[in-house]
Amino acid sequence: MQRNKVGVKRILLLTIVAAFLIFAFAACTAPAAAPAAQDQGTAAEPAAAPAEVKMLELYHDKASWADNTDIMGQAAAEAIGVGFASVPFPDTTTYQSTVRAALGTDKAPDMFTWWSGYRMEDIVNSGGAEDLSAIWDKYLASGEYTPGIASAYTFDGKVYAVPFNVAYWVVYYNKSLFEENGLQPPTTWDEFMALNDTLLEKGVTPLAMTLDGRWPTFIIFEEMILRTAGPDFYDKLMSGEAKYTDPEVVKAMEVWKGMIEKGYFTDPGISFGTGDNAMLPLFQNGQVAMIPIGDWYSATLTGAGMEPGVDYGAFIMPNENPDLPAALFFETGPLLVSANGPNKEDAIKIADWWMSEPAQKEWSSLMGFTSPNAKAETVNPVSSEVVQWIGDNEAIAVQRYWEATPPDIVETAVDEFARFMLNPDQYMEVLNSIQQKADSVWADR
Amino acid sequence: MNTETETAVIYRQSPAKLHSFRNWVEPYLYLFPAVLFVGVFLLYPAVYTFYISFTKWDGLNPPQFIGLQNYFQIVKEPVFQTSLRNTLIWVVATLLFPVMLGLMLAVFVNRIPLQGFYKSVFYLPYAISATSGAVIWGFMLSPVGVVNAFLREVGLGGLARSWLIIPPWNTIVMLIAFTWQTTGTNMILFLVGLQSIPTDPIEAAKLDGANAFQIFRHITLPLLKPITTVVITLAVVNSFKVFDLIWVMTQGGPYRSSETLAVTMYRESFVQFRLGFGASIASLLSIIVILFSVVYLRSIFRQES
Amino acid sequence: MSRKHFSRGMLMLVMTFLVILWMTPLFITFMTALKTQKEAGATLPWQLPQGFALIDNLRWAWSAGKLGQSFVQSMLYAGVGAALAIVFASLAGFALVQLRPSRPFGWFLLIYAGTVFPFQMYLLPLFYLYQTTSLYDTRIGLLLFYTAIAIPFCLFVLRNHFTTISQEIIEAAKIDGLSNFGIYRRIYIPLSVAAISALFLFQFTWIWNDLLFGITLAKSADVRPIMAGLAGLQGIYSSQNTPGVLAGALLASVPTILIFILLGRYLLRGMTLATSGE
Repeated sequence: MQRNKVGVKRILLLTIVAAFLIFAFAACTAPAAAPAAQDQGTAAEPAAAPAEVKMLELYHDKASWADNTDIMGQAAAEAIGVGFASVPFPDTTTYQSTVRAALGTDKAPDMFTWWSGYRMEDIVNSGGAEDLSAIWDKYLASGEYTPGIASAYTFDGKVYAVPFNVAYWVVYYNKSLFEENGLQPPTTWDEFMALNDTLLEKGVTPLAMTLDGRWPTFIIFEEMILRTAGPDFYDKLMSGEAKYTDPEVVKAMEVWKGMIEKGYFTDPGISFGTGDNAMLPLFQNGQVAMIPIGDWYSATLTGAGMEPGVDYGAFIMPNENPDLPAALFFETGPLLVSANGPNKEDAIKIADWWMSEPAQKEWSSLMGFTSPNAKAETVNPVSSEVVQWIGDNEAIAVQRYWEATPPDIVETAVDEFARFMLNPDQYMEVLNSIQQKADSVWADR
Repeated sequence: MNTETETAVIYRQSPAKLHSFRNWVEPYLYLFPAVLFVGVFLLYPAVYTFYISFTKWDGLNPPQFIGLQNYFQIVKEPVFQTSLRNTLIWVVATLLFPVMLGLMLAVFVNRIPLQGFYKSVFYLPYAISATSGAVIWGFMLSPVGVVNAFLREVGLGGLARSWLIIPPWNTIVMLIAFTWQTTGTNMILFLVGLQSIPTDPIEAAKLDGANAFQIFRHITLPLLKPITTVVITLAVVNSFKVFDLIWVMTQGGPYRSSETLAVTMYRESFVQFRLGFGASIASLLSIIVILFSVVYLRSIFRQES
Repeated sequence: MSRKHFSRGMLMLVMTFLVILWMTPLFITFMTALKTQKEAGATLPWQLPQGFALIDNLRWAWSAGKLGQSFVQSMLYAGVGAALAIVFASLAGFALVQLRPSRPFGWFLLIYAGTVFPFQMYLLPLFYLYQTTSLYDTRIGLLLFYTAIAIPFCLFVLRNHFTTISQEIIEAAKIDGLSNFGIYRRIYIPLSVAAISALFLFQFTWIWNDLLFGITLAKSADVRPIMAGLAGLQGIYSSQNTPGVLAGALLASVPTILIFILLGRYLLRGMTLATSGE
């Protein structure tokens, strides 16, 4: 009995070890870009830089942008003789703690992306970021940039970053779906609501809303505040002058709640990715008609084979209160230079180059972004429409929620908004608990 | 090989004073590597965390000493209350499911053939690591996952839901995943215990006409007590420490509804950058775990003597 | 008699049910890992796969998912880490039992104290310690830590085991002129092979399965251990390539499953040691 068992085990051992070795061998010898592995995730190896060119390190947490960032690093190497390679972090948590811990040491990254506004504040206060005001003076004088963007990176009159990406927050809509059903992007709140009802009748969920990844819960919240209470109130709320328990916020939440109850939004359990139940395929197949999100998402849409202006379009969510001024959210992702980095001078050169017209042209065409450099025109027709809309309506650009108010409040709020999405009736509890946090944060400052 | 005899020779030749110094220092040379490693990588960090728990620190600027304020803060934070409640749920549920079920399975398996097969089946989930287990269960429980597909297929589509984002379901399903992974180890430990129990008292009881349950209740269980103590303490200590499974499946969310103390500490420290506050949670957790460990160590030393 | 048969039948029925329940997640995972991405999306999870895409999925996890590198690295951490820990712990255990430093129990407690804290207790200072020295995101850094964290338990088991070694043999060896190191190498170690192999498997499995320190002390693909790689894969791709991620989860479990299937007896002994310290 016992002997028999050992025999079986031995055979099993040999089989498994053999199978494993064969597999391991096959996997090791297969080149990384084997056809089977090519569908996604295989990073295109950046062409090796000439040996004499110095390559700095650019830390960021935008793994899916890594390839394009490396192309930019090569372009910098060719243009100014010093380039960079990206060091992508797969998750934001690790990224933030690593950069924070490294900043004070001589292992500080040469350059790194961060978040603007309040999220940059403690980095600047700790002395980890290099003052880049001189670069800005140059580009402001040439008229290529407007001072508005610099304000998100300015502390005590000094500018500590250059824009890595600037995004406007829009509502993407499935254009073919709209055309098939004879629908138009709405220009007033009533049209917007009517649109949602029509879509529902046709069996299409009007709007995407998710809590996947935790942060996206603020998207609808900030829109609701802006559309019902306007940019002035929003600014007050962000700076602690207004309270989350004020009637304006309560009303915004009630509007949001009403929309959830009418079935305008998807199940918040949908994921951000591209799987069966994710936002992208639902949108692409016409099961979800609209996605409110930052316009960096267009890279994802085009990546999935949707053509801008043909398969998808964008509009700015109309105001619920018609008396309010035209407004939309923007986001500026800063690129910082470490004050303690080993290659600071070269990094400053790169930051300068990054803001220049050729660099911005290449970057915005690679990513489909709107460039903040006035000379670099936007390639993506949908993005240019947005820029057009801003000009035509003299719209006010408002900093998005994530950076506009102290991070401690945001971190609490995004969790509370998730609670609200799942239990819309609890909106007062949600607001009370955010306000409680806000009180203690503002008292501390 | 030669060195040994050589040392022995030197031993005899060396002056008495040197000899005694050598004798005195030698044990410490053997202890040195272990003490060094444990000291630098485990004890120093643990002590330092304890110190940090009395400071306010954001990881960027130097820590500021604030006394017991973090500990007072803990009590006030609503997040901590949820987290503590969840931790207690984990502890109790660990005793109810993986431990009880493990004991039950051990008793069953002990009475039927193919023990080796059952051991393998129930231990296998543990062999694949908590992270893999969490990946697998994440797949089972996603909105379009296996569980929902099955419910819809058998006409119970109404029960299908987003398991991982609706409390208390998220904690319940993670407990199921945890039970699935850890019952096997408990079963094996109980099996070891059962097999070391003398058979005489059981035979005697059978002759006296006791039924299976009575035998289990009055003979097996008391004899199993030493191993039960060990299994229970280990299970409790481990349930306080659960991190991997929760972090991969829900990251403690949504709205921090499925956090346990271990996850709260991680989030406060590495997401919110309230490092001092995180450290105070870690210290509190340490105290709880050490108290339980003492029970565990005691029961082992009692067995030893 | 018949009642006994009945209850035994019931028992078999219950056990069969539980076995099926326990195996289902693994079975379905395996089934899905066999499918192509398209097929996994289009078929119900328990439907049998049409083709055989396992190799492609594993290859995706291995190269595109970068688990391959992590796999090799974890082999290093788990293998070398467990071995070093056993060497250091056995030296210390030998000193405590044989060489009798003053306050041996105090020394034991000092080292054993390393294992009583929940792991969260180590994270912050370690992270900053690694950042300020050059250990962060290096293989040697992870290896050193994994060695350290395995030592206390190894010491606990080995010390207990060493006390069972008969003093007569040692006295005889001393008379033969064996030095202390000789006694350690020629007597203690050979007499502890069983305990040491059990410990090795046990610690290998522990280090292999660690996620927390892997994500805290390393970031890049050519340092990160396997579980950190898998968690990253899950985070980035879970909704994009389910079969690939599941194949990755299986891949990451191969060594520990092998250890269990082939050397389960030793592992079991390790677990018994863990709880009873016999």
